[in-house]
Amino acid sequence: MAGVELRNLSKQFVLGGRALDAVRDVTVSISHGSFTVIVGKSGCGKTTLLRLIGGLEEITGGQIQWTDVENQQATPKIGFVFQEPRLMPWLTVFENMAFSLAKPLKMTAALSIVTPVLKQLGLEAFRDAYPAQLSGGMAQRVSLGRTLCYDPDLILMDEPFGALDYFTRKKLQREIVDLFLTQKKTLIFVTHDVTEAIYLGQNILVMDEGRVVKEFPVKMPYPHDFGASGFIKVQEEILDSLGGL
Amino acid sequence: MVAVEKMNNLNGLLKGLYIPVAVFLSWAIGSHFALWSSYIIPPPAEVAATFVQAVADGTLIRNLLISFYRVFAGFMTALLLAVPLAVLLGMNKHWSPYVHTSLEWARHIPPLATIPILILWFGIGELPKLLIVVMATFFPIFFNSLHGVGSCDSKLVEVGKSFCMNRRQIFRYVVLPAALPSVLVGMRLGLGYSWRALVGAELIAASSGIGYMILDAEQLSRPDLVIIGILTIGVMGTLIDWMFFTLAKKVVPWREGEETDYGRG
Repeated sequence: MAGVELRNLSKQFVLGGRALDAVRDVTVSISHGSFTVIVGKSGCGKTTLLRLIGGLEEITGGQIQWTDVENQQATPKIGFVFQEPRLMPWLTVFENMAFSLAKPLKMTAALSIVTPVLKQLGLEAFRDAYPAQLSGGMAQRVSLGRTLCYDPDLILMDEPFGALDYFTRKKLQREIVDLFLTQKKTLIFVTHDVTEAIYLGQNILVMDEGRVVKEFPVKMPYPHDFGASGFIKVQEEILDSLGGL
Repeated sequence: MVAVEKMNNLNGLLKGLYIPVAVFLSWAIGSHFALWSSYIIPPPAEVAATFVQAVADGTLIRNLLISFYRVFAGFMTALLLAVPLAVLLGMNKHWSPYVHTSLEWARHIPPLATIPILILWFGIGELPKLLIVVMATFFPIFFNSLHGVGSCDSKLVEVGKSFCMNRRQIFRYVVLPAALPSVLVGMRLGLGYSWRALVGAELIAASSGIGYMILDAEQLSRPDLVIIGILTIGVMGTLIDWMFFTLAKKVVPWREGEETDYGRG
């Protein structure tokens, strides 16, 4: 498990000769084994913030400091689940999930790591299928499985259910909650869906114009119940902080 | 499901035979009723008898094997040159401006146009014919491989980076497999081009091979042997292409059904 401190984190892009501040002066602390959700409107900088944490973008200003369970400086293993499944079309489900494992790969090692994850995600029957033969939900599940096989300390998820239908999304949301409860990894999840953010997150960061404008610790028993009165209240507060509907 | 697929395949195969059967019947009927001189177009029975004789005395097999050897040697040389060069240029895009103009210029030169100068430089041995095949094969393999390496989805490369793969691992596990279908398309095109260019070269400067056999038959006024040569080239070309396509389907099973991809020549 890993915790992360973001100090005055900034990211500037230059587009058509003009500087664009995607992330501005973000200072946040995310603790070990917590489930943090970053929520905001499209273009508010939430994906850029996640990519900065994941090391997929160069930092323009500020710093990221990682700590382990004993609060010592650490270099964690980070797993990224992207918005699209990004599966390798030439690999089967099994091979895609083993893709994240150290190379060269020994088959016995791959079997012992991948098989339980296949089972956990209900993908056993599809182990020899190619990505083109999978539904959107199934492909996203394989993408999640690939990250789980990597056994990261921290999982970053960038709107992974954005393109899925309502029913598949609900099912996968429940699976993510189960996963969090059983594996107790640190999770950072990006979404623009406020309901999804409250259902999944223990701590919600609201972003607007590159800044974290508010932090909401969700004080309800976890997993959160959609019907709980506190749920609606948090939802209203978040929407208010985003300037309402 | 499998039975339906087999039926569809058989149906497709039968449809593909309509035109050849119609041509053969026209040829047989026209010859039977002496609609043309048998010297210009010999009847099918005469061609069949010559075929049996050419196989029995080894003329056809010997020339065919020599041509096969030349195609194989030229094709393999081109493959060993084109793929590594495409990978190097695809992975180091800043080198491209140095070679792009030269390659673009060279690819427009028909290989057969270089035969006179190749004979002048290297004589009429095996080397000019090998070089002709290399020139005909190199460009389709090179440009398709370059396209495959260069157009690898950056999102897939990012997946490799997110799992802390180094540059060499990303190339080995992401870029190379992503480029493989394009490389295979280039190889398939190259194989067809090499066969065509070789026969052309053998017609001009050779003392053996299927092209030479045709030219020799023409000089001996043997149209039956010319027809056998032409039919053999067509059949061999189709057979090689089919074998390559079947092999490619096994190597890239996730692209099954994309046989209409004719790539870049």
